[in-house]
Amino acid sequence: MAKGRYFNKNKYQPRKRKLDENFEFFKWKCLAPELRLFIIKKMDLKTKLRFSQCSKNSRSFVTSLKDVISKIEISDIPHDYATNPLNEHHYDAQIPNGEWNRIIRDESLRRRQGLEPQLKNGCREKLKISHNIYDNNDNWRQQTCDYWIEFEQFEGNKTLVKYRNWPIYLYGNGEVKWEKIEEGDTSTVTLRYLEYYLEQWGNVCPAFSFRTEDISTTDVNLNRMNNLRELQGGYYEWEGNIRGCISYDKLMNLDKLDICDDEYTDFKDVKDFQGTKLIIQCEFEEDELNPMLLLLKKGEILPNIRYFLLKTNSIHEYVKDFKVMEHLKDLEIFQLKAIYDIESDCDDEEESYEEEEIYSNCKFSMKSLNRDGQYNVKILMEYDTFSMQIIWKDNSLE
Amino acid sequence: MTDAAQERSIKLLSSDNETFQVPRNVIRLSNTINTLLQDLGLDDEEDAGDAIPVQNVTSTILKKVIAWCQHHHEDPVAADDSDSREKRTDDISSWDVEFLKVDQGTLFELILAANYLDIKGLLDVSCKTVANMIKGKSPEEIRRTFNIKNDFTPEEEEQIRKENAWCED
Repeated sequence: MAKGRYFNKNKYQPRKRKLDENFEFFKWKCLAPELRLFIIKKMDLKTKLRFSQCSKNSRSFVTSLKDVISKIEISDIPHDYATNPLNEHHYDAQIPNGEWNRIIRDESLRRRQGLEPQLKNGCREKLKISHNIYDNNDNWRQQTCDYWIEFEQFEGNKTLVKYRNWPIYLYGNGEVKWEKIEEGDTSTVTLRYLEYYLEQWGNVCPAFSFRTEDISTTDVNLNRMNNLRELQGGYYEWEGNIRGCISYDKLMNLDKLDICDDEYTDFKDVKDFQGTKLIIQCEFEEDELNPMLLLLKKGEILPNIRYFLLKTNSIHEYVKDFKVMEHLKDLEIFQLKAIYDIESDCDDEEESYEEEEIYSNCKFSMKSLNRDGQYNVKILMEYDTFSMQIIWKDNSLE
Repeated sequence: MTDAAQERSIKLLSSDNETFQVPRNVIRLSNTINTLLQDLGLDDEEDAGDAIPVQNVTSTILKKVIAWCQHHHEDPVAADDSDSREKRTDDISSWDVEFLKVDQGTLFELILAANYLDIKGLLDVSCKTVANMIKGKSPEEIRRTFNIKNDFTPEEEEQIRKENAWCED
């Protein structure tokens, strides 16, 4: 007689008893192993992993599944590796049984907004991605702490990958330039790497830059960063999008504050910043900008700042009318740089290109006299974006 | 199988000696029955003769199996299991969902019967139902559902929990 697909004559005997309508549990152990495996394969990833925690036997079942996530190709990655001196990368994906599978080796990685793996198996699960770089010593070196991505399926087997954790980037100040040394999620693992690098560098590389696109989840880590600062005594630089939920007192010990957030409007939060370098890049409404500049003029906020960069594309009216200069001319010494977006005035794109040369030639300097009659204001008009850079310099830097 | 063979009936005898008359084109979903009829040269016979004993399946379960086949006998033949098919548990038709709203004992028996009779569709959907049954449950709840004994040491359990923590957020 033909047998069932997973018939196990040792496990299954013709039943003779009456069906019990009140089983307290599903008779899992009475199923042939093949049937159990068949059911496990039907589970989603999270259920599989939870099931694997039930017993050694259940774990062995799950870990026997080697095809859960085994076929994946990542066509691109979202980070800019242009500055990375190393040009060989690969990515590993951790399949649910805990093994790591090499999924890509791409030597021409370009910046994009998301990963788009072709998931041939249609899996809609999470993957753990590790970024590895081939170093000059002929070794594959894990460059990142691992970060998790999750993805949503769309258009058949094409899948959009999103980061679960925003990556953070750590840059080390080498002998001649800043180099990216680390990127990953906001876990403490990253800081462990950071500590390691700082230890390795010692006095040779006493600075690092810590950048992320969203620091709202790194609040706790900032405490540790401050501790590192005390331990290492180096120069630390913070750049990142400051969301409203950040505690600025965590940042006070940093020398540089870089705010880059379209949604950021509340300047009272930065008034306690004790560093000397403030960079703000954001969209300003005119009525928001004016009070801030007034406060700057009066020296009521940011008293220690020697470098201030305000970059926006929405204050051109101020520059056009030089009202902003009215506010700033009383400052001791500063430099203002304005990069004018001509598209703001020119609806016709061709015309804007026509204007490009004009505006590029329109770079000019405007001198504003300080008390000693020294040069202290410079305005540059450039095409493409609009920014205003105001640089304070104390006399020692002249 | 000829058209005539399609139109005739097959008699199935359950383990508790109840006979069921099943149209041939309905029971074709069972590869076990198909193979048996072909091996015995009965597939093209006008009269298949005695009832085919289905020793491992009771009348209660066989009745449900036949009902499932009756509903699905015109379904296109499913391709063999592929990776993509195996991971989806949300593609159970509403009819099947209702059909499988049974106690766990019946579900268990249906899986065994589908496996024994080699009815791929029924096996697939019933196993998915079991998989869905524990979806969202904690390991401890899964243990209770499946009566699995935890033989991990606390250290091992903690280690595995950490390994799998990434999937829990």
